[in-house]
Amino acid sequence: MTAARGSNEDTGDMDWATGEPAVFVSACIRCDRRWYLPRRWCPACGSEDVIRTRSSGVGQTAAVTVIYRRTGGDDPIGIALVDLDEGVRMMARCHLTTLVGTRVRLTFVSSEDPSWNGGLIPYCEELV
Amino acid sequence: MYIKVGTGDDGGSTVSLEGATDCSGIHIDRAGCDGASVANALLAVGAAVAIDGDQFLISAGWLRSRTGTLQEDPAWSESFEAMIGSAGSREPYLVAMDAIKVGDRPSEASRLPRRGKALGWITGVGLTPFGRQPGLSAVDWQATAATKALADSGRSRLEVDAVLTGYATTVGHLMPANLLSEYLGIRPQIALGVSVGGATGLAMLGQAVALVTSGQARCVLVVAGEDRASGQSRDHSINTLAQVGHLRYEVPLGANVPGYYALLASAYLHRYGLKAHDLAHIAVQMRRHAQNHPGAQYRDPIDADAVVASRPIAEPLRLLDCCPVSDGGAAFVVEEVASDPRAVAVTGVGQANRHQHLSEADFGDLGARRSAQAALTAASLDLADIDIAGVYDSFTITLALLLEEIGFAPPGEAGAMARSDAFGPRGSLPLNTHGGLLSYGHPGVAGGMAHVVEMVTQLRQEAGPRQVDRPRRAMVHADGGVLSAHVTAILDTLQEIPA
Repeated sequence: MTAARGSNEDTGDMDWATGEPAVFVSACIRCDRRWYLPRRWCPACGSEDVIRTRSSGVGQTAAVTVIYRRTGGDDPIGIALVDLDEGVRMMARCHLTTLVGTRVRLTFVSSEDPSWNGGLIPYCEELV
Repeated sequence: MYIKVGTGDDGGSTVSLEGATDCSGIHIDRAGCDGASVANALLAVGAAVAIDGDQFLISAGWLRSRTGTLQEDPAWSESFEAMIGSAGSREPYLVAMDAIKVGDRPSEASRLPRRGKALGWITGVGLTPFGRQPGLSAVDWQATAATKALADSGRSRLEVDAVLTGYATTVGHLMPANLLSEYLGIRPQIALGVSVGGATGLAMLGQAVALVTSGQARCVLVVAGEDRASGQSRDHSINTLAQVGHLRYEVPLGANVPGYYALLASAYLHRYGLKAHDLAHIAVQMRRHAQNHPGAQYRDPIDADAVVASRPIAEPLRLLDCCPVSDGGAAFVVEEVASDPRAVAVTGVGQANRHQHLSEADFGDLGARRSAQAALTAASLDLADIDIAGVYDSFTITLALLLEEIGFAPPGEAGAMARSDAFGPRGSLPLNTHGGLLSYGHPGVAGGMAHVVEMVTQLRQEAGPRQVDRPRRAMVHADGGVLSAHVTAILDTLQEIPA
């Protein structure tokens, strides 16, 4: 587990959105609220006492889709909402055949869109 | 609880309340006053009143809010009496003379309609056909719809003192209301561009009502229009709309708006053990409605098999589960007073904003129920009082989730209700009788406003072949983003009940 105090950065500076193969979960030290989309203040109590913790990357799919009509490429892609075991929900890529309610572990693959500066995207591998 | 109505020294009616605030047994002592005096006195102090033969019924909510104060605050008593004294001059309340309301107690009174009070009046509406119609710019569509609405209301451009305009993705202008006002030659005191996604039209209606209620404006022009189909490439349109997703944590994954709604659909189907075919009936009903509207983009009949067989967009959503991208415009005029008998009252507005991004949405509490309940409470109505509805239907799943969270359909059964014709012209809830976004079309903000125009048209009984049998009260509801922003409005004819 790697932990980092909340910084003045708007977003985490070490997660997949900036090219590092990791997902981080934010937690409020004052009220214990947890969340995924980074922000400097707790969305529940407003506290600035926020800690960001590296997620285990394990969770369960809450929703899945296969997108056929899109602008970033011609091949269909799988998208899932994953409920991480740390208690937050995030969006990730998944296999075209992944179903709702599947246990998954996040890996990271290269983004096919070179214009996006992160370079990595989270991808669900099914746990058996 | 006893309510005593009498005649004051000055000849005006008086009302007094005695006993506990137990709404289960309300008696009104007429003390020899005639029915009009009683109703007049009660209406003048803001109560919703029923007259049923010799019985008078009064809203429990009003009693609860008033009686405690009455007993504790002498100053309130004085103003109470003062209002009664001027009861005869309060014409707007007399419009509601036929109102029936017993708050929490259905029984006898539930057979008779209740009434809220007008917060503002929709005096004119304008709607263009929707479809792929190259040739007009976004502002041209807005001006076309605005001109229709003004003509319908009988107002000239010079009488407009506020202009509210929705954003257009093909323009991206910082000041859409100023842009349109200049184009039309209107110099309004208030000009406001509004941006709440698909809920923008109803959010503007809510603000228009607030402007006239607060006395800041008397005649508000609400407009939207866009060349969304012809003014940009389809890819550009998809990319623009995808930005309601999170810029760094959702959009880079390659998802788009159909994808976000498809995720909602997959969770929904999984939860209730349904198949895509179950949602398809919603699209079929919308198409059936559109067949009776010459302005609809798609009018060819379809069945559920055709919906499921159409090409996949974002599983489980197929092409015919998704609204088209269209060109067109819609507008309405909201005024402080009803200028003619065709005016339709807005009696309640509710809103709820619980999340922006799908990742943070609470699937069990998206905001639709809160918004609808707030609007109903403002209008002193229950869901059962609603005769017809216009509910946002960007995708079949959108309509299913909204209908179920608002309470129009039991959980998991919106599709089954559509299949059983519940949302048809003679069903229990005639819904989106113009064809909705799914078949009338969707040029952006104007798409959600078309539902308002259709409900006004129905309440005026001017819907021709689509006309539902004498509707009195309509609910319109829209969402923006990914069920992120919710706005609900209650529209009411507030007309006398024929004896």
